[in-house]
Amino acid sequence: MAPPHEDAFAALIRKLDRLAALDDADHRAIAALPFRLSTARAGAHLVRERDVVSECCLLMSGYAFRYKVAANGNRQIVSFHLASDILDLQHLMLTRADHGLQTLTDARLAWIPVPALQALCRERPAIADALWRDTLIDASIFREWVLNVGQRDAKSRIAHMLCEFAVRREAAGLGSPERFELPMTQEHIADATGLTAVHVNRMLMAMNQEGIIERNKRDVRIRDWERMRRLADFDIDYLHMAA
Amino acid sequence: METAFQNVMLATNDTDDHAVLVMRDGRLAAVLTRLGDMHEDVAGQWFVEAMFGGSPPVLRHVFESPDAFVQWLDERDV
Repeated sequence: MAPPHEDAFAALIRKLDRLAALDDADHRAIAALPFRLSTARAGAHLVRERDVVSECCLLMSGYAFRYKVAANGNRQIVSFHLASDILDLQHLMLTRADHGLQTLTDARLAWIPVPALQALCRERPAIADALWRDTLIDASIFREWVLNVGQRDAKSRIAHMLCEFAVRREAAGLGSPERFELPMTQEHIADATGLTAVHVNRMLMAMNQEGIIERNKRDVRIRDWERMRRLADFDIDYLHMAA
Repeated sequence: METAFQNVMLATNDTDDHAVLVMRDGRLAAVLTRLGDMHEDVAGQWFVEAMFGGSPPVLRHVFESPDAFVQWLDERDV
C-alpha cells in the first residue's frame, strides 16, 4: 500500500506535471505538503458561501461541485469537479468563500493549509505557474459555462455539459469518454444548465431517440461523438489540455 | 379574478403535448403541460412552460393540477 502522502498527491502531481515543467524537487515538495484527510458522504457541504477558509480542498476520489444560490432559493451549479482537482484554489488569495462547495458522491478529501501552499508557491516557481495555470483554466471553463447557459438551446447545453464531463474524466484517468456512469442527478444537470429537471429529462430522451446517446438511468454511452460534438458546439480548446 | 382553462395540443416531438392555456380575465397568463410517462416520478403532474406578467421566476416545481397552479399564483400575488 502506498504511503498516505503519495496516495494523496500522486494524482495531483500528474495533473500539475501536465500544466508546467515540474522537476523532481517540485514533486518532493508537493509530496511533503502537510494535509488532513477526511471522507464525506454524497451531498455533504464542504464549504459554504461566506465561510472563512484556511485550507484548500483536494478531491482525492469522488465528484463535487461549486454553486451559488439566488435569493429566490434557486441554485446555480457553476462547475463540476473530479478526482485530482483542487476545489478552491482561489482561497490561496481570497479568504472568504464567495460560493459553496458540495460533494456529488461519496468522496475522499485532503485539506491543505493555505500558508503551506502559499509557501510552496513562493519557494517553487514552477508549482506556482502550474497552480496559476490551473486557476486560469478554471476561469476559461466558467466563461464557457456562461456562454452555455446564456446562449445555447436546452439540448446543446446538456450535450455540452456531457462532452466536457466525458473529456475531463478521461484526462483525469477515470475512464473512457465513450461510456460512463453520471455522478449527477437530473436536478444537478438542470441546476448546471439553467434548466428544469423536466427539460433535462426531455432533452436526454430526445438525444436517446436520435441515436446520439444511449442512456439507462445514469449509465450513458455516447454513440456518435461527431454528432454529439456538433450538437453541443463543443470545441475542446477552452480546456487548454495541450497547454 | 376570473380564471378559465383551454385545452390545446402542443407541436412537440414527445409525449408532453397535452397542455392547457390558463386564461385570467380573458388574458393568457400561463401555459401548462401535463407531464407524460417518461417523467416517471412526476408523470401526470403539471409543468409551467411559460408564464406572463411581471418577471416570471424559473419554476422548478410541478403542480398536481391546473387549479393547484392557479392557487399558487393567487398566493404569490398577495
